[in-house]
Amino acid sequence: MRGYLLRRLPSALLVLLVASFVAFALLRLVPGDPAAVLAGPDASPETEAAIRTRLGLDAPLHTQYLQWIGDLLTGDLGPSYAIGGQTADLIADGLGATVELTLGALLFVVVLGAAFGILGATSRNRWVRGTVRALTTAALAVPPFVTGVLLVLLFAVLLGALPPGGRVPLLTAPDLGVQYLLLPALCLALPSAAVLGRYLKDGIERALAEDYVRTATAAGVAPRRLLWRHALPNALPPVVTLLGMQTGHLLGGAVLVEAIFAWPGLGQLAEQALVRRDYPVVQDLLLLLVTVFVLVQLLTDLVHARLDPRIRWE
Amino acid sequence: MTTPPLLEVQGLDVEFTTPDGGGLHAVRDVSFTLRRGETLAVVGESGSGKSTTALALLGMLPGTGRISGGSVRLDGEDLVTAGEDRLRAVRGVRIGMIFQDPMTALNPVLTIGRHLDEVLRAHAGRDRAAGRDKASRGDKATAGDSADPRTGGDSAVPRSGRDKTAPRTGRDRAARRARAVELLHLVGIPEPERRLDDHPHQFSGGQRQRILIAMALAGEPDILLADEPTTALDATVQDQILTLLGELTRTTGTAVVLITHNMGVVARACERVLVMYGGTVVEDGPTAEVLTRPRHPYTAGLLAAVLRLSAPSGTRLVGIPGTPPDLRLPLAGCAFAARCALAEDRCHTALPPLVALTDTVRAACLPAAERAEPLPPPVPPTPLDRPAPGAVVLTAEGIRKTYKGRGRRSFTALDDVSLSLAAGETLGIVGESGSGKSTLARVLAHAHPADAGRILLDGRDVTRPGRAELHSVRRRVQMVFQDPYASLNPRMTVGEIVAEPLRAFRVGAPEERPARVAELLRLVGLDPAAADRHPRSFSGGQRQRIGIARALAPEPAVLICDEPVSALDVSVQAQIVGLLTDLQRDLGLALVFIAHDLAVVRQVSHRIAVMHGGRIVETGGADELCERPRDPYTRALLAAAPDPVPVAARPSVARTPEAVSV
Amino acid sequence: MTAQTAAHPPLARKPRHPYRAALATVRGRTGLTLVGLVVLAGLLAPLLAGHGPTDQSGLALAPPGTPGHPLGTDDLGRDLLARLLHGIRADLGIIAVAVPLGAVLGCLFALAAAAHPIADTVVQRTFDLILAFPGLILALAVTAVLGPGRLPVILVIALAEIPVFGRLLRTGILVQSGREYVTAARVGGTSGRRILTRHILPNAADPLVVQIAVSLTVAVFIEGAMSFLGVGVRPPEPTLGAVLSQSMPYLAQAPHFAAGPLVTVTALVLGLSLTAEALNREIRR
Repeated sequence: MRGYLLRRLPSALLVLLVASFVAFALLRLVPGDPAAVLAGPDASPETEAAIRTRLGLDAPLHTQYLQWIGDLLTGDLGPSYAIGGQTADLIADGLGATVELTLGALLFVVVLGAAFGILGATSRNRWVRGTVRALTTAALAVPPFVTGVLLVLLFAVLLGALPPGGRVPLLTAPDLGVQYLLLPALCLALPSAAVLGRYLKDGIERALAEDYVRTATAAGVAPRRLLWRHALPNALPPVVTLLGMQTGHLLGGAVLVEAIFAWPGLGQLAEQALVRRDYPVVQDLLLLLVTVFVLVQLLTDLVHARLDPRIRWE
Repeated sequence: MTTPPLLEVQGLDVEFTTPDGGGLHAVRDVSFTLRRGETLAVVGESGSGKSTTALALLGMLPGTGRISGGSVRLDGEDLVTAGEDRLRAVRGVRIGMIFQDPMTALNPVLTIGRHLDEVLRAHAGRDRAAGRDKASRGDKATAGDSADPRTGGDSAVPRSGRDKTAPRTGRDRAARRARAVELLHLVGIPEPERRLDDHPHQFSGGQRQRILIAMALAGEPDILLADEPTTALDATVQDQILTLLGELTRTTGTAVVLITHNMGVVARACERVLVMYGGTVVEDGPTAEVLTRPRHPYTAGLLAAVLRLSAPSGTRLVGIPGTPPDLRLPLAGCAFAARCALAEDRCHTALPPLVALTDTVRAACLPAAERAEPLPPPVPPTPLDRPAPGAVVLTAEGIRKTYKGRGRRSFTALDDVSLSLAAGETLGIVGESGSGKSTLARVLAHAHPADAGRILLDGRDVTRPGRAELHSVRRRVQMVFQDPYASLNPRMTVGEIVAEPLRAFRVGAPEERPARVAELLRLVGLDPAAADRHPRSFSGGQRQRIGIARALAPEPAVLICDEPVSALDVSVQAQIVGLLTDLQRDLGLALVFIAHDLAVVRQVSHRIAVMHGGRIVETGGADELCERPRDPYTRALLAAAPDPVPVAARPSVARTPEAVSV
Repeated sequence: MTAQTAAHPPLARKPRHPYRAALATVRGRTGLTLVGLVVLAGLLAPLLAGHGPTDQSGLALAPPGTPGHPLGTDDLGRDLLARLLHGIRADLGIIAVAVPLGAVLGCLFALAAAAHPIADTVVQRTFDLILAFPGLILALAVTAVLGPGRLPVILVIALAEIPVFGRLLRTGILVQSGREYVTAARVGGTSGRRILTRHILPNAADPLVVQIAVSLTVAVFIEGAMSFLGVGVRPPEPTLGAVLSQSMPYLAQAPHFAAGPLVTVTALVLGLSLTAEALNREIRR
């Protein structure tokens, strides 16, 4: 297991390193003097000078890069010039909201995906199978901004049951928080749930058609046990890998869903920072998101290896 | 008074629905009986319906399959009308089953212990019900018990003192584990306690088949259905598995239905044989009788087409012409009529009933029913007049090939292999899986480079040819592949496939190529009209002919055939072997004929090289090597080769079981 | 010699090309019809619209059925039918350039990877890197440098599709080159280039065809999402995502504002998905 981790680690680190170069290069690729861009058109020369010093823009590029990484590692991200406040605080607030949204969505993905997959593969009722198939096709095809609008129309405008947007932190007021979380989480989860469900359905169907299930059937093992103890353990490892990839997609999708539902997370922060051209914040955010994504991938691979004995032995 | 049969199948019909909505009548009016403790072989070629019949008995037909008629009576109870719950109580407990491919029949993510535990657990819940059942069956209590070795003093099958009727609750996981260890021990897995926690991929093919046998016997069934249990295994392993099956079922009194395409396995393992063709039973009787005095022309044809180890080199067999019937079409007369040399007009129009011809033999053949005598014995293989080999064309000296595995492990596929081949000569190379024979084929055909050693073609060193030289080498050395499905590009027409080498070697002008392709197709016995169609519309044997036509296109001097017939049915094998021998005689080809079946190799080859573990362990004249083997491995291979001769009529061969172990 | 083995007559009818068979299924036909309708509407936009997409009338948020404005008007009094039709046109223009661009680049990368092991490693890492920026985060990164507009949208879509097509074709080439018919062609003297073009690529191409349909839906998604994030095509030019995004604040008072793009986007992506599914089923058989 440790050997497997050691083999996977270098390529993950390499991706992170290059991603940090890309994020770092962004600010330097923007046309014009970065300090002037950051300070805005009306800023005084003093502000510009302060920014220049703070970012070390006069130093050679590699020094700037090392300084930035050093700042990141020590958590000293400096102030945000355009939005106001400390960058670290902004990111911490947004991160809490985004994590809440992503985890809420992940729960939906797992529950809906498992239901879609298992029902679709094993239900004997063709109407159930047909409905599941139609639902997955729709959830997969229709983009979140369409489902988002539809969900708001239905639950907020027509039924008035749930708020159309905004957030109450789940930890401060659980009952109210859930109401605010429900729609965005569902909206974010649907495409991933459909992908997962379809994958699981295919996996179960394939596993149930395998020779080893036939062996177990011929030995008199009950159908329920065939599904849970024989087919699922085989269908699961690729689904876990997929779940990891989908978690990454959820992070990416959260940016959009936050915009639809006015959810004050990292996506909203990124959008704000972009509009106000606060590049240091954009740069930090990008690297943070990519890091989380790469870590999730790595974790997924490890879980996959845990579940599938063949990989461990290779 | 005769005891009623344990299993009685009457007029069984199985139909499938094809994707385009048509029907496929896979099993047609199959009837047979099985008595307690009997061993019955069901033999037939692919598509004969033998496996489908077995699955139908257990109510396990795949996909759209359904039983459309007939009955399956197990101790008088009809399984066709039984519900799924009832069938589940039968599976494993009354009827156990093992399948062909031990590599896929075990669940890769479960340990062996879990496999056995699952099976034991499935039976534990039902044993009381099943036991009540068994107790109520008077026939077994009276007729069975005295003869049942399970209750006898012989403890070849160690039992943990538990009767089947004893309650086993979920509590005794430990007891199930102990029983699992016992079962593994029984089927000859060393160190069963330790190996219980291993996964399937840590076992060899033979060991996996042993584990599957243990699983099938865990419920102590009355009947064991074995569907091609040794087909995926090497001959020496096959021999051991058959021995194990024989011993276990004899000591437990289990009746066996052994499904196989291999006449040698039939002769080796079963008392009675049922011959199937085109979904119907054509003949049924004691093995010794059917194999020596066949009544049905198909049985006779099949036996004549089987290559026997005793057939000397340079003879040829008669295959059965044509291909099996299309099961999508309704059957007007005898399924075999279209390929039968003895067919009369009525054979095409009237369904022949399966009638008793003697006390023990039944056959479904109208002319045979009127004939008192069995069919005449097959014509002994006719010796070919083949010209003596000419000058040496291909020489290999000290060839080595090592594959680098993942990590530090590497695998030596070829270790110091040397051989030579003359024009008009056939060199047979025989070995089991992993012996390096296929690697050797690829190295000789320059599909893979050799790591060390020299390859000489017409005296020139062509071990590491340059681009231009490689091209000229390939023109002289061509190859025929094992798998006629995988070796033809599905996107090309047959004409394009055969023309591909003509194009590559610039043979003839482009406008002459269609005529040359037609000529080549005729040469291998195909209709030139085949050129416009895609490989998927041909049968396995026909595809192999296409592969041969492609290999012959550049007029090579050397043809390397890598297991050219092992994917084909017996009757088709004989056709392809005959074709290759004819082509060699007519074109003066030098052939390298690689196979795992010693009988085939002996028949086609002038000389044989036996490979084992990447080395050639023995080489010599074909007859000489088969009759007076020197190397212990060759002897083991010869001893393990199943010959389609009933045990009684077989000369005793010294067995050397210690030479190879699973 | 071997006279007994004449070829058997083929099964009568010649099988249709699998793609055509796939598109003739109910699924395939429904999909093609939906896509066809939307594409037609986009192509005929200037003829059908009656107004310019940015022309303002005095009527803000007029309901559907208003004379001269069959779908009503938006908050700035622009004709919603004209904005919808021109929005379709703009979307089609973007995805029809971006997806093929991404597909071609991805395939070129895959071909380069097939040429040499070192190239393969480089290409693989490049794909890993692009994939490390999940969809919309990539969009943010690109627009951070280029600013909003049509070009960044195309670029983001193409960039996101490069690793998808690249990996698909790379796997296909790897799988096919391990097949025995490729060895057979090599032994038969066929040149490396011809083996690639005549043997491997035709057999590896099927998944790519399916992927194009899938990627077109992804492209619609990315365009819309970027409009919602305010980094898409610059207003006032309409796109499907932009019209929908503008309707959000008025959902309660004027739901018809959102109706047009909702129905259109759904029809388009469902049509594409159904087509992809139909093709996929037929190919997997």
